[in-house]
Amino acid sequence: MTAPRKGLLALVAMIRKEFRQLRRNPTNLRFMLVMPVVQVLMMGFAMTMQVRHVPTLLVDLDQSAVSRNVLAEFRNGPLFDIQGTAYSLDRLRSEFDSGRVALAVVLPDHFERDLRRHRTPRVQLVLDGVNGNEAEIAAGYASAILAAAVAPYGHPGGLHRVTVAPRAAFNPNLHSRYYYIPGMVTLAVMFLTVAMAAMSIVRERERGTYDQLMVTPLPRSAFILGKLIPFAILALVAQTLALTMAVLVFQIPIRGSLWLFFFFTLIFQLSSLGLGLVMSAASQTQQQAMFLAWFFLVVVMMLSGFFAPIDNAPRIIEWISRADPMRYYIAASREILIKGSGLAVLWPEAVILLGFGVVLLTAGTLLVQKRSG
Amino acid sequence: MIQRLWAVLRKEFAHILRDPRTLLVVLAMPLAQLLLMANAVSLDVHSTPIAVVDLDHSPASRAFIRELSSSFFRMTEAPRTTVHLDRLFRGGAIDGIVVIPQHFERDLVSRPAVPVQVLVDGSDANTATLVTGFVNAVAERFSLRGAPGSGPPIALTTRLLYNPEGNTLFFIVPGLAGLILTLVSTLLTSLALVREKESGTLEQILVSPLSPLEIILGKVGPYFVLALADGLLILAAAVTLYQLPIRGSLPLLLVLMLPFVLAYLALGLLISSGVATQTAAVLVSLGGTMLPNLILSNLIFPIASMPRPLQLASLIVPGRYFLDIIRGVVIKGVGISDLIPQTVFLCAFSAVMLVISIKSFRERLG
Amino acid sequence: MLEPETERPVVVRTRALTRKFGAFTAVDALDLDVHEGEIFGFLGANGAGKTTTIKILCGLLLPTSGTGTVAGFDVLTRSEDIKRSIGYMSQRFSLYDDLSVRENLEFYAGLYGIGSRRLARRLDELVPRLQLAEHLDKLTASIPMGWKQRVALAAATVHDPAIVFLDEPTGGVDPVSRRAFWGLIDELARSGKTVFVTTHYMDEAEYCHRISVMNAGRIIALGSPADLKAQAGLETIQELFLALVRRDERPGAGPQGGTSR
Repeated sequence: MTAPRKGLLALVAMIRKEFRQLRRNPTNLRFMLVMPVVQVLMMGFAMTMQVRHVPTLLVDLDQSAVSRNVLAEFRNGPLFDIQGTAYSLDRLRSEFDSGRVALAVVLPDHFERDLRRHRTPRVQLVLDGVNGNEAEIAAGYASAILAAAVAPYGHPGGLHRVTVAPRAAFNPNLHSRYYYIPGMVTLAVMFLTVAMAAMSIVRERERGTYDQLMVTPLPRSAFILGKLIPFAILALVAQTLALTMAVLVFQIPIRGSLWLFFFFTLIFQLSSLGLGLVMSAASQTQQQAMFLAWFFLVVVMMLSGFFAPIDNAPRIIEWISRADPMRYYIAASREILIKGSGLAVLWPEAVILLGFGVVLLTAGTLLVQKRSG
Repeated sequence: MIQRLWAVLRKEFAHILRDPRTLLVVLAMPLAQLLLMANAVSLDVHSTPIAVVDLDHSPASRAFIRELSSSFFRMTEAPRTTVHLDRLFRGGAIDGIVVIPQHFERDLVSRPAVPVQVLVDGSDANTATLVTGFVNAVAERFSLRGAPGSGPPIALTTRLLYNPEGNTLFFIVPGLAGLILTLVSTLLTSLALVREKESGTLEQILVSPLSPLEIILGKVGPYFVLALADGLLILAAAVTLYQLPIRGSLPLLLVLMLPFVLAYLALGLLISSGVATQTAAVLVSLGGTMLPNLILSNLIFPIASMPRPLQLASLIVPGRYFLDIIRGVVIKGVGISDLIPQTVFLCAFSAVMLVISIKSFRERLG
Repeated sequence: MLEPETERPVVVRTRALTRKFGAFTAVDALDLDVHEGEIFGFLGANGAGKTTTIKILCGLLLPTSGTGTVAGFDVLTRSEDIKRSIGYMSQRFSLYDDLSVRENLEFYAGLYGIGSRRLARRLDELVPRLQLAEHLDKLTASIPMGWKQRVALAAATVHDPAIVFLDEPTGGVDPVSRRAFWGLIDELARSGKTVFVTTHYMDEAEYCHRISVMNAGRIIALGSPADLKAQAGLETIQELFLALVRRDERPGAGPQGGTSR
């Protein structure tokens, strides 16, 4: 038998063994396949920056017909959950302290009288500022309701309002999940490939089977490939599963080519697997491998523009983020899935991702070899 | 009893200190996350760059722009036409474009409503939602000043309690501290125990005269300390680097951390008695504790806006109550009297978890 | 000293083989000839340099100086060829607990490029000889230590190597299993294989054709168990070993006959 054929047989034996071990731990396998799906579904439903159901306290110091009418407007629609009406400011602060209330609309004494006489009553919105963004947006909603409610009492000719006509390019309904799902899927996949591959290599070292393998003619490259290929396949399956579920449940219109998306996933996996190799070389125990993987995953994720656009970050962080392969993958997957861009636009991302993959895999392979040599 | 317990504690501490890599990661992680959160993934709309296209060039349009710039610090000049505005989004230099129409000032007097257009990049829906919401708030504020020439019907003042500047770090940092606490307590504990199980040393300890309770206390104690240290570290860093105020009582916070950390240590214990390998421990810990704590705890996304089933599920997520506590004490400066329901839940939850986990630890290993 | 085996070809040869770790010399100018079909026992206290020597001979470590050949291949340059010609079994019985016995054997066979037909033939040979039939489809984690040891031996010899290195193969195994295991080693040698075995059970050394005693990286005695005991006038290998080590550690005392210095 020729040497290359023997090498191939060894690789096949290695891959087969990995799959058998995966199958022998059905709990792990199930978790690895189901967790991304659950994660994506949960996040898809949960992740929204839209502000709804703000727990609201109405404070009516006037107790007039007009003040009641104005405040009644807040009861319509899903924006505010009215917790009650107060007639003094006594317990206002404690309502906020206990978190029962996040917004208080305070209509002052003589509200009706001042309004009718055009004396400009001072209305106050008090907000729980801990979540500043939510507070500002809630204040905007409340102002709109107030403006509309007091309009009939304004100057002749009515109130002149500036309204906002939002128009969103690419995602008219502003569903956050459209934006998050490609990233979510990747994150799930990346964690699988990086952490699990790294832990499985370290496990061989911990248990002494690695030394045994090294006295066999199994080439180191076949060892590494045999470790990585099963995890790559598993990750692709998990990814497809999660994405399919997401598309079905959230009815995401996929504008671009799915094949192109899978192509990008595949070349991105080169980088994450390379990273997994580097982690495994840097760790002595599975615990270390796990925490290293977690640490880098968090950094890589935060720099990728997954949560918030990285372009707004300070120059130096923006620069560091250019060394983050996930950044290019997230950008490309959004372009493909949401905007429908093709390879003609995205080839630079493809080249960069391939470059990262080659560099990280080479570095990982060399480090694993050095460590055992 | 104390002496034996001390022996286990010392051994466990030695494990932690002998493994500087894990220790470094555990201690560096909160700091790195804080720095990145503060700089890279800031959800701060104030620093979001938007462009304004003023097609009116009137005192009224300039007044509107002034009002805008009080909300958005980063305003960019924009082209004078609306042709190819979408191009501004390419390259991501800008997250929103506000177009003030021609005859803005004239229409304000003659028409009941004057539309101002906001363009956002919908592929980044979160930023888009935030920008739209903020511009909307600005427009409403502007409207309430009344049309030029006539006085406003009401004078609206907005007061943000606890965080007048609307600094998003005030919101994020306490949440981050809670998240790190869970990670360290559950993951580290379950991994440490499963490792002993794998290498057979756990049996060695079990045949010693230590009672299961002593073993658990000894094994879990160091991680408890580590988790608390981590939580305090991130708060301290936020105080020194980003002027996070700690308005309430730190001792109170520490006391209220106890049941929370205990609950997750117990969960880690439970996981470790149920799984055989470290990989399984990682997967179960992440799926069972990190995921719900990340999503269903008001960490970033408001539970109130979620669908009903998720809202119900969030009721049994300890992180949700703990975030109320840590945000309450640190940012709002409230005392225990405002946190009673949360405290009661956490104590009950941790007591139940402890009983279950000790029981299962005894059954499976003892 | 002429042993009957010396007429057979030498399959393991070292000359002045030395391995240092920093200032510490683990293996010190080792000269060794092991012949085909021989059971060669490698004795020594923990840290005497046994495992380092085996690692060099298996191609896992490079020597600092000196030369060595295994199955005719130079340890410095031909480690890949050496790996194809040897089998190696360590005291840790490096098996995958979560695979069945058969799956473990299939895996190791695959690593040596053995196809399924050749493996089937090989299993027909190995399984009856090692009496593995009953356990073949059980999970490795679930079988007793003594059986794991046999499976490890089967895995190490699944590719029918000419030389087998056994590094403390009987650690943690009961006396009955140990005795049976030495029967298997004997069979291996009878079929023409060379067995290079380390142990610190001195009674096991009696089963070896020749033994060498190592101390502080050097060989302090070499010969058949009977000859060595006769020369020293001692009854058991145990006594012989202790006497040798004691003498070696006394300054000025020369090593006993048959040594390589």
